[in-house]
Formats: sequence, structure tokens, C-alpha cells
Amino acid sequence: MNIIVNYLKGIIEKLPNLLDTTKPTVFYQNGNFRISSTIVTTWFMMLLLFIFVMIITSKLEKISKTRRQAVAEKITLFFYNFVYEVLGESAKKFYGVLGSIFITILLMNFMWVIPTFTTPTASVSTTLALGIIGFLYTQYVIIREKNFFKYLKSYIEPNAFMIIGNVINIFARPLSISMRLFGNMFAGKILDSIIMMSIPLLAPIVFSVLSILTGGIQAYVFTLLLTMFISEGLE
Amino acid sequence: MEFLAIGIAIASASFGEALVVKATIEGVARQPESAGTLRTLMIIGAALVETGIIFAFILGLLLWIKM
Repeated sequence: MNIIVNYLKGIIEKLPNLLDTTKPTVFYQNGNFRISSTIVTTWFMMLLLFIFVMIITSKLEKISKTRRQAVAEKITLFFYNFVYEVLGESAKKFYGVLGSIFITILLMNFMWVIPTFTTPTASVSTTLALGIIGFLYTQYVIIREKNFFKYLKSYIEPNAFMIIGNVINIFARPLSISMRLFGNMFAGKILDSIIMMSIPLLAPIVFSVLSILTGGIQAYVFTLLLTMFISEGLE
Repeated sequence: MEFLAIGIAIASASFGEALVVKATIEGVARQPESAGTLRTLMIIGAALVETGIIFAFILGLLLWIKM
């Protein structure tokens, strides 16, 4: 009994330092400008993605004969079908951007698999940037497809008093989707470190599998919500 | 106190998520051919319900840091 109490006390004493252990390491800081392990991991992810895409899309032909092109076509078709389910025929115009957002978030969520790398999406700056860019893209697409006056008119849709509700509803979206992604990835990270503190033997494997599942689902949900914003705006 | 907030949020939101999954399973059992559509709807619904927990989690963290 005494052993268990001491063990629990040891864990509780470590808890206040939990946020310090999950902080990204800072390599260089000058005022607000900062290069931390989050950004370095993102650069590495971009490099991997760039090399992969360069290999896959070199020397494309009209009828695919090589395996590389078959892989590229499979990936493209997957995103086309994904967007087609929500948007219908107009999916052709949007699936490129939405698919690249999906791949970026998916790879970012999986970067912790490589040792010494941190998850970039477990930092608010990354997810907020992704959310704002995705939101601006959806608004740009809606303005381009309708026209500017119809877009402005959609703010006073049922009647003029609804403008406050509509503005809050639309401009809270980037915050909402980025906080969802950040919260999920950060909660996974904290859960991982708590499990590492309390049961270091075999139990972290189970939670790692859970983290991989969460990463996939969150990337899917982020892209799906952006697609639904577009489809809602185009109606 | 802030941990209690997270606990209440998790208790209520997991009940809501259980309802989402229950409805999906019943739908698939009745019409197995609509499993694909229902899966997409279930993931969206579950993610939207989960947002409440996540917001409570972030608020709890903020309160904890301030302490």
C-alpha cells in the first residue's frame, strides 16, 4: 500500500512540470521572431513532400505506363472523389487546394513518429495559420464563384437584424477549426507524456496507435469542414 | 477546480458521442448499403461533438497556467 501511495505522489509532483516537457526547443530568438523545433520539423516535412512529389510527377504521359504515375493518379482520384461527395460537379476546381491541405496536415500529424521531431500541429501558431489560410481560401472561392454583391447580400440573408449573428458565425470559423486541430494533437501529446511518466512499459504503444488514428481523423475533419464551408457559401 | 470543468465536459460530451455512434450502428444494421455515407456523417458529427471537450480542455489548461 505504501509503495503505491509513494508512486502516485511521485507522479503528482512531476505534473506541474508537464507543460515544460512538452514545450518545443527554441534554436534562435530575436524579439518575436523565433525558430523553434516546430518550424524545423515543418521544413523537413516540406522537403520530404517536395522530393516525393517531384519523383512521382516527372515525365507524365496521357496513358499511364509507369507505377509512379499510377500512384499519382490514385492519390488525385481519392481527393477528387472526397470533394465530389460534398460539392458535386464543381469539385474539379477545388480538389487540388483541399487535397494539398489534407496531405500537409496528415504529414504534420504523423511527424512525431520519427524520434527527436515534435508535432508541428501541437502548436497554436501552426494550426492558426492553417485555419486562417483555409478560411481565406473558402471566402475567396465563394466571392469568385458568385459575385461580390451576392456575397455581401448573404450576410443579411433572412433579414437585416441577422447581420451580427452571421458575422460572428462566419468569422469564428477559423478559430474554431484551428482550435479543434490544436486541442486534439496537444491532448494526445500530454496524454503520451502522462502515460510515459506513470506506466512506461508497453502501455505507450496502445496510446501511440490511438494518436495515429486521431491524426488521420483530424486531417480528414479539417478538410471536410473547409469543403462544407465552400458548399454552404455556394448555395 | 479546472479539472472538474474538464470532467463535466467529458462526461456530457461522451454521452453525446455515444448517441451519434448508436444512431449510425442502427442505420447500418437496417440498411447495410448506406454504410459509406453514414460513416462520413458519423465522423463529422463526432468531431463536432468533440469540439466541446476540446474547448473545455483548452480553457482548463489556460486556468491551470494562470494559477
